[in-house]
Parts: sequence; structure tokens; C-alpha cells
Amino acid sequence: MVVEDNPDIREVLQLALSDRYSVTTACNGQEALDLLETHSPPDVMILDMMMPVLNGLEVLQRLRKHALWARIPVIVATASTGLRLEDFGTFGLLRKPFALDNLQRLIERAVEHRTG
Amino acid sequence: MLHDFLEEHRQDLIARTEAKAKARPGRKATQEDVRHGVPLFLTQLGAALRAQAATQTPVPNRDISAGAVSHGQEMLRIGFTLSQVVHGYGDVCQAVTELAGDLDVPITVHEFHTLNRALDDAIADSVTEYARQRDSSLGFQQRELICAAILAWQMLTRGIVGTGGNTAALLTRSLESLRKLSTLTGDMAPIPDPGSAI
Repeated sequence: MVVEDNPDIREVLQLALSDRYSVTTACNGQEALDLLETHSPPDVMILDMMMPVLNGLEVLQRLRKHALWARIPVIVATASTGLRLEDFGTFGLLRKPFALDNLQRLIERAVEHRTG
Repeated sequence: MLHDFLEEHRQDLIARTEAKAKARPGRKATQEDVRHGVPLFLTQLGAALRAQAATQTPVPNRDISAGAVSHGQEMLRIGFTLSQVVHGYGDVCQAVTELAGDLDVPITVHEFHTLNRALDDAIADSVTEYARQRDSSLGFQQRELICAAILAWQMLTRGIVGTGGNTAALLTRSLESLRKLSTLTGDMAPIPDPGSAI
């Protein structure tokens, strides 16, 4: 699941990952939580931080409190600097701009972690 | 005493400041905009003058700094220019000295020093915060645009998508936005028009 408010980044990530994975997208944190309510938890979530309606930190807090969602590996992809994410147990952190290879490697590791 | 004068003529001073801001070219201040910064500054200036009168020495006023930082953030958020931030404080100073002149209210040298110092501190802090927030916001936008451009570029060069489709258009759009952004930030190298560069 790609949770990203920037439509260009959302589009290009969906396109880049869809040859290997089934990709769902959400344009803000609330939409992501709504999708989680109605669908099976994804193998991995790529989460932006600065988003309208519900930001990434709030999503992380909600995930960690939920019995099913707490185990979803989350890769944070953010253009913000100075964020401290240690307390939220994220699987990985990518600072924008990042390369596709770095994201793909992290996703592979996250999927292995999830299924292993 | 000047602090009594500020209290007594508070509404008139706010109205005069508002009129001066409206007379200036650029985005017009609404009543809401002006009332946000000026009343707080007048209150803090009054406190600084009162403290100075009690001790006969200039007193550093941390409230003025804190208020000015918030004011700088607010002015950026509602779309004012840096010039308007600076002139806004100048308007307060002019309103105070003009009204005092009209009403023959004397301003002592000590009071004038305190007024000037308060204005200097407020302008410095609000401008610093305005610039800090603006640079941070522009940096954020730059990183987002570069990210979209890099991902699109990698998709194109690896042949994941064709060069005539949406991803190529997305790359052009990102570069065009970066170019526009580079014209806003004087410290960034200019980016050529993607239409002519590609």
C-alpha cells in the first residue's frame, strides 16, 4: 500500500511497483485507514509523513494500537527533515528524494520479514 | 507616560496602523490579519515601557520575541511578503509617534529608546522566523519534486515505461515546477525550461 498525497509520486510508485506487486494507493492517512478497515492488511506500507486530513505520524500511532495492523511493516518515505521515528517501530526510512532501487530493496526485505 | 498613552488610545492606534497597511501596494491586510499582530505588539510594548519606567533601564522583553516569531509564521501562512512584515512594524511606530504628535503627548528619550528597541527586536525575530519557515517549505517542495523526477527518470531509462506516455509528462511537469521554484529561491541554480532542454 502506497500512502502518499503527492499525486506524481503516488502515480510513479504505483507504476514502478505494479509489475511485481499488487499495489493499492491512498492519498492521505484517513483514506489508508479506511482501506485497511475494508481490505486485508498489506504486506508492506509505504507511508508519507506530511499529508492532509491525517498525517503519517497519526497513521503510525493508529497502526501500533491495532491488533491486526500493528505487524504491518511500514517504510516511511518523507521529505521532512529532523523526524524522530524510533518510537514508532518503522521498518525503514527513506528520505526524499530516493532512488527506486533503495525502495525496492527495502520492500523485498519487508515482505520477507512479513512472510518469514 | 507612553505606556498609559498606548493603553488609552489602543483602538485608535490599531485603526491607524490598519489604514497605513491598506494604503500600501500588494496584498491588502484584512481586519483579522492586522488585529492579530498589532494588538499583541502594543500590549507587549506597553509592558516593556512600564518595566523600563520602573527600573529606568532597558529591559529585555522575551514576550516581544515570542510574539514576533508567531507573527512571522502567521504572515507567511496568510501570504504576506517579507517587506510587508517589516513595514507592518514600521506602521505601528508611525501610528504611535503621529498620534502622540497630534495630541501633544510628549515621548521621552528613554521611552523612544525602548520603543525603537522593541521594534528592532520584533522585526529581527519575525523576519528571521518568516525566512526560516519559507526556506524550510521551499526545501520540502524541492525534495518532493526531485523525488518525483528521479523516480520518473529511472522508469523511463530502464524501459519500464515508454518515453511518450504519462511518466514522461510527469517528468516534464516536475522539472517545470522545479524551474519555477528556482526562480523563487535566489540561491538555487536556474533550471532550464524542460520543454527546450529535453
